[in-house]
Amino acid sequence: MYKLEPIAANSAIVYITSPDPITATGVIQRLAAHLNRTFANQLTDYVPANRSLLLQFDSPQNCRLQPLNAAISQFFDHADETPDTASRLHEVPALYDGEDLHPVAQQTGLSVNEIIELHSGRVYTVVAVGFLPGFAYLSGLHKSLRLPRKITPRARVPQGSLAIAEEYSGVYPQASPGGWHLLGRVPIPLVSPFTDLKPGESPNHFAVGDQVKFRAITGADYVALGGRCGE
Amino acid sequence: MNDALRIIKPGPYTLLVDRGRRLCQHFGLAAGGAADIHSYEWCNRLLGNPPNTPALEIAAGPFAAEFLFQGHAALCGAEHSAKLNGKPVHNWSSFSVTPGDTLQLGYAQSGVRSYLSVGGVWNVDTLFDSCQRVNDDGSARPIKAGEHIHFSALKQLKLNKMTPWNQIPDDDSALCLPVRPSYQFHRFPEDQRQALIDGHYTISPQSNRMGYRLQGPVVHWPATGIESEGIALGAVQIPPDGQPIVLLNDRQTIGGYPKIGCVEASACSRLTQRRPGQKVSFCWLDTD
Repeated sequence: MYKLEPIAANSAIVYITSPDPITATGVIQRLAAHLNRTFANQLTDYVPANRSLLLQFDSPQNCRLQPLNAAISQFFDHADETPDTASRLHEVPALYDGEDLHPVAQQTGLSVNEIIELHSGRVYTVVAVGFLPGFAYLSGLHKSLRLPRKITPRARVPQGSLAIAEEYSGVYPQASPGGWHLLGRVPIPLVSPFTDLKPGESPNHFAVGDQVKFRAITGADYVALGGRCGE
Repeated sequence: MNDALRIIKPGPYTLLVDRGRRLCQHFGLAAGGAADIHSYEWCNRLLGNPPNTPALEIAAGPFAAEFLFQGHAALCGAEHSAKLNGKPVHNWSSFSVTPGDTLQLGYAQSGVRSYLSVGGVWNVDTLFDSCQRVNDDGSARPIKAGEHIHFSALKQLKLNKMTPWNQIPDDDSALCLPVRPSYQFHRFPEDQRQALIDGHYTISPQSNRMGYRLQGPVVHWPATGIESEGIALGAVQIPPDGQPIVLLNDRQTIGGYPKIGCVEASACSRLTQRRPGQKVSFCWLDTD
């Protein structure tokens, strides 16, 4: 079910031990919402990830394992009654012209066309947001495309790059160093500028638990949709 | 109100800070907050400001600003040989200012970051309940030359105050970082845990508000990667080269490297006042 462990004086982590990651994602989302209600003013931050939920409190006095355990147990006792948080399906256009298409083809033994078909034929689930502000970890990559991160990360991955590593796909919201394999580019922004946020508004176009599908487009489509060139 | 602070020389990295953002890390945005929370809190205490009042975190001189109001300011943290109109001002104290007064900070002789605040109510925009400014991509946006920061200064005549001696840390002294065993601690072999505790580590020049990188005895992680998970303040991350990184205020929110535990928050504050080349060590925190 779950394990609760203290991490620091004012933080603790919940590990979800249920079998498959997709189920775990829904559970973590609902649990985060439940704890956010239960410990309204005391919980200063929570970080959902693939299998865990990190909780940070405003003080060590408010980070007590006993009431936390009680609240988590209560959640699991009624878990079947809480509806899943609304999940949306996003279709994202992608130009499959990445620098790593050929190396990935070599390492997987697939053709470039097969890679594109396998990658755009799946529906991915957002299991976490992090690493960079707005970077969504999309779980559900086809088994035959799973590769470890590159041994030497690139010093600079351009903004909008669509990349894969292990079981994940992701789109870089900004230029950054990165060790994932680049399959292509996405012409539209997936994160709003943090400077324009209204109170209570999410910067991310994807929420954890949402589903994402990629649609292969041509170079002309990419330009028409406002994609950046020459990076 | 026209009360303001005019930034003449911002220094290489000066930020507007407070206790940090709330409920933002699930968007991948770091909480931030004053790196040395102890010095920051004293700054506001000396002025009688309410908790969470903004302050400037000045990571290095030379810094210069002009006060465009009548009231009080306070300076705490690193020793930057501050001068008001060319005359030395006491660090860790509040002082009166009048319009046209200029504060100058040189290079730090001790510590890294100075905190400067003014007595009053600041008129600043907030994001996730914090005054800290970000760029479009969520990265921290430093203060620029020529900027005016506005507030409503408290006009009452107040006595200048000084931080009690026993509250002023010595950031040139040896620092032992108390680590609470957590995260993957139990999966590190006993001799690797011991290596961390026995070692003397040197702070690397690649240390900043995201994390302090340490150079010294290697701590070896015997397994492969771990499932990515949320990172708490002070987490001691062990990357493949075995050189520990203490993750701080502007750390990434999730990561997939193993972590042997967490440095206590108050020790994280002291660490951020140490410079590249200074030595630190680790000890286990008794949690009973």
